[in-house]
Amino acid sequence: MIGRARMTLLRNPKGFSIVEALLVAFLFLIVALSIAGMINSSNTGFDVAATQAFVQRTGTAVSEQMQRELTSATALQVTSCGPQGATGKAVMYMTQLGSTRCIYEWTDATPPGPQLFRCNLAGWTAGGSCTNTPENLLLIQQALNAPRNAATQIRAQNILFQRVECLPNTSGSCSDPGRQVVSPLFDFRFDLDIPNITWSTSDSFPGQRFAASFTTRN
Amino acid sequence: MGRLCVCLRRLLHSSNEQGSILLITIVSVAVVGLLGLAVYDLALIESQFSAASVIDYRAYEIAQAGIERGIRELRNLYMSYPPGQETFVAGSTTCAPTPCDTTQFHQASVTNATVPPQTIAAGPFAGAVDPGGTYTLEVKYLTVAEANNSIDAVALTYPSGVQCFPDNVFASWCANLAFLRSTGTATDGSGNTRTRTIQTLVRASSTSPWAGGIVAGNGSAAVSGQVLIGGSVQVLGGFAANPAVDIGGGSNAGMVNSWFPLASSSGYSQSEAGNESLIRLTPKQSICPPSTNCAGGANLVESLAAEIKVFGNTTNQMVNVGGGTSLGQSGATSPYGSPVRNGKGPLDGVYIADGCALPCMGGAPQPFNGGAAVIVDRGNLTKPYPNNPPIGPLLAPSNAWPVLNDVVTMSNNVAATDYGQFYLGWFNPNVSGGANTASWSSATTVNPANCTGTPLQIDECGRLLSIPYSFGALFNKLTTNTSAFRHSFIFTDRLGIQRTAEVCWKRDTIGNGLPLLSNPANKGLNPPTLPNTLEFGIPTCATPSGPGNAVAPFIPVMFWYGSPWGIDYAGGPHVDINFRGWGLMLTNATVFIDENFVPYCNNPGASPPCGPAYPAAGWQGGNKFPEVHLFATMTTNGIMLATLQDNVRRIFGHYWSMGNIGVARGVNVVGTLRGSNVCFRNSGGCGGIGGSGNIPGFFQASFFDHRKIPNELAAPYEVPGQLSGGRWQVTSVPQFWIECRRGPADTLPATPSGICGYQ
Repeated sequence: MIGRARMTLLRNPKGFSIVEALLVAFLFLIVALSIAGMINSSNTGFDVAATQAFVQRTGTAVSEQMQRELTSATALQVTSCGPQGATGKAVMYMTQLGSTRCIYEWTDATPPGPQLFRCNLAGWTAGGSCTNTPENLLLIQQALNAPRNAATQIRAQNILFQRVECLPNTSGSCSDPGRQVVSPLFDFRFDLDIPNITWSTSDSFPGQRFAASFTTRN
Repeated sequence: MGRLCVCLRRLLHSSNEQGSILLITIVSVAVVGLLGLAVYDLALIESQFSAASVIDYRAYEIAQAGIERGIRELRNLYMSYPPGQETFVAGSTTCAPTPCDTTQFHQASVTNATVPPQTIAAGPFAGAVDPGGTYTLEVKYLTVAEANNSIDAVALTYPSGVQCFPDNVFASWCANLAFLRSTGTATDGSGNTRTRTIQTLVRASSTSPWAGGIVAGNGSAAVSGQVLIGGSVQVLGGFAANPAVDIGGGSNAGMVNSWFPLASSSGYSQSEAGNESLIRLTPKQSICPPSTNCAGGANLVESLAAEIKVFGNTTNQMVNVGGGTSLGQSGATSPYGSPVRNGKGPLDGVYIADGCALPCMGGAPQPFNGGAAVIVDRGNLTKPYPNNPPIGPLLAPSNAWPVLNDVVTMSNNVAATDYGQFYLGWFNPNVSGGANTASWSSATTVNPANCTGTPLQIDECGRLLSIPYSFGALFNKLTTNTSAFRHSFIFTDRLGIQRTAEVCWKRDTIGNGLPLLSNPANKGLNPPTLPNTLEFGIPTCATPSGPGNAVAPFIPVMFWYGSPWGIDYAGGPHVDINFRGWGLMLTNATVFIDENFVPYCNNPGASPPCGPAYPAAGWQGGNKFPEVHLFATMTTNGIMLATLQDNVRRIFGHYWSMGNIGVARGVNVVGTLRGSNVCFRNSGGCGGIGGSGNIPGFFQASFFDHRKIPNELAAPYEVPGQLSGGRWQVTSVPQFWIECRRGPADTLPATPSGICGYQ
């Protein structure tokens, strides 16, 4: 039965005209390209979404980790520490048992750019050097399901630690009664971005900004 | 039309056309669908992450709410006891079903430990639902040994040792310390549940200036001159201060955190050959200082908990330290005293204005001058003043700010004893009991009611030819040449009870003369065995007032004297003028003391010297200051200590002045000082203080147990009729606030260890 049909087809004098073939090929191409574009867009969208989620999770995790450490610190100080000498780029704190640590922005020798590091200091002195190998706070969140190589490309920029001397700090004078803080307080801001990951030319993932205020209960 | 139908039919029913478009389309749709599902799944995961993060934070905030609730509950418990008996540990229902103890945490008995859900009414999150949550509280008491030195006592490591008051019932437990643990649990609408635990050490501490060292008000500088300060300095503040504290004088000046300089072996210019001041003081609990290994009881130190606190300007320099002068010392002192102990070197803390940026030294606005030597625990100079507005008698009745004299009242006050302000009639309502009231002036005459016999025999109790001496002749100024007297009078105590009291001077000399002129019975019972003793007794000087008085325990003899009062040098070698019992004098005159003025101690050779000390000896044991013998004065004017005479060696007492306090000429002042300005040798403040003699010393000496500070001594923020009230601040102890590092499957340890430890 099948063999007969094939024979009938082969013997069909009509066949495909060249026009029909080209038309079919053209239509096929259009459909294929459309589908490919759709798949690619979806895939890019997924990657961007996953990256954005990763950035969000990383930023949240960093903020929460800092909150846990700094809330129980016995002293906080926005000052230069570790290798960071610039103003507003580092914070120094003291743990309950007297260890001094530094969280700072730093750009390592290798890409991708500035990141957040933490290290121990010898004592409660501004400008003290790290006494251990600094930890990258962005990379120690590795369990956060980073897409592709995002975990190694994430960077923090526009980092700013700013001491708050009085409340509110946008008007009046710090010397006004009732405005002085009663516990060390600082504002913290940073942007997370993965600039070297470009999923498509239309990817304009702008990164995310995180901000928080930290004080100590000790 | 017919052709089109044929084509469609062929397309739909053709069995010989191998169409792949449909297949491709189906596959593509499947791929896209899978990607869509993946994105959807990612969104779901992210949503769950977000929800988990939010509920985790809610659990944390609920745990914090529990801590605040727990602190409040402990405060209420502490305040529920009469003044002097406040405690955390006597509340049998604090924990349930197992009573709280020192061995481990037990669940606290609190009701309404649920934060109810609520819908956010307005704002960008209007309509969102806060699911609320619950918290559970646990309490663990501390033994005194555990608080002082955790390492040795319980093999736990805490950030530092802490002093505490032994409980009246459980003598080995701390009455004013308790570990508090709060576990917050929150569950959101999706069933996500999170639990977080916070732990801290809660302490009730006295806000009374009588519990501190030097408390000054406003001035530039409020505390100034050449002096060695053993203890705390607090400046309540004024924004014009520049600086607020100005101390110099070289190596024999500055600040220390122990009584070591008083010891004969200290090498300080303030040292006393016979440890005369040191032996009169109740030793503190020895504690383990921060960052120190005290295993086996090693390295424990006596600490005065010395701090510098300045509530003041954020732009001026607050503290100026002269060259060669150090605030705090590095390392512990050499052994001293009996029992032998070492003193703590560094200050406990520095709290200035809104804190400072390291290095905290240099020109304004740094709080310390460049090159200042400030040695404090862990080198932390950066902390801000911890209260806003500052703690202490500060606000005026008009609530103007800053004013230095708060509305102060006494605990246990009752109707008809309204002490709204100590300086405006605070004592007058209290002395309306009759002719021999406690309101005195220079014209008031001695009432020798407790002396009997012939007129001549009675004369030796304060009369001359039957004419009683006036107080103007006796008190302005009292010297070793002043005639003996016994003055009986009536005062109304804080309980509203009229007390018969007596003030005596040189009672040991009464009744020693010829029989016709002297009646030995007029000496009374229990006379002092030391010469030149000023006594305060209820009802007579035979029974000194204070904690050991059987009739009125813990009630000081109080009197108002509205004329100049002082103690002066009478020539020859300086001698000790002793005070015995508890006496509180209020006056509106400037007080001058220019002779040694010390608590009674007739057994300096005992072991320990001056007898046993609190708490081991109880309140009646020994001759210690201020527990057994206390002299306090409150004046609306000034107080001048050793400003007129050289070589005065020591002046004990608690001194409160609405005006200024001046200290000069090498004297050691032991007790507390509270004045608008406090000025020492060579200060330009307080009208100028002279520069002769050695550098004076001030050594903080308040009650071992601050609950025993007489409630007649004004303290801040009291509400009439409210027991204890604002005398106590119940707060988390710095360095002890932590979050337990618990994972989802972790159970909390029974003690502050493991995931709830401080390591």
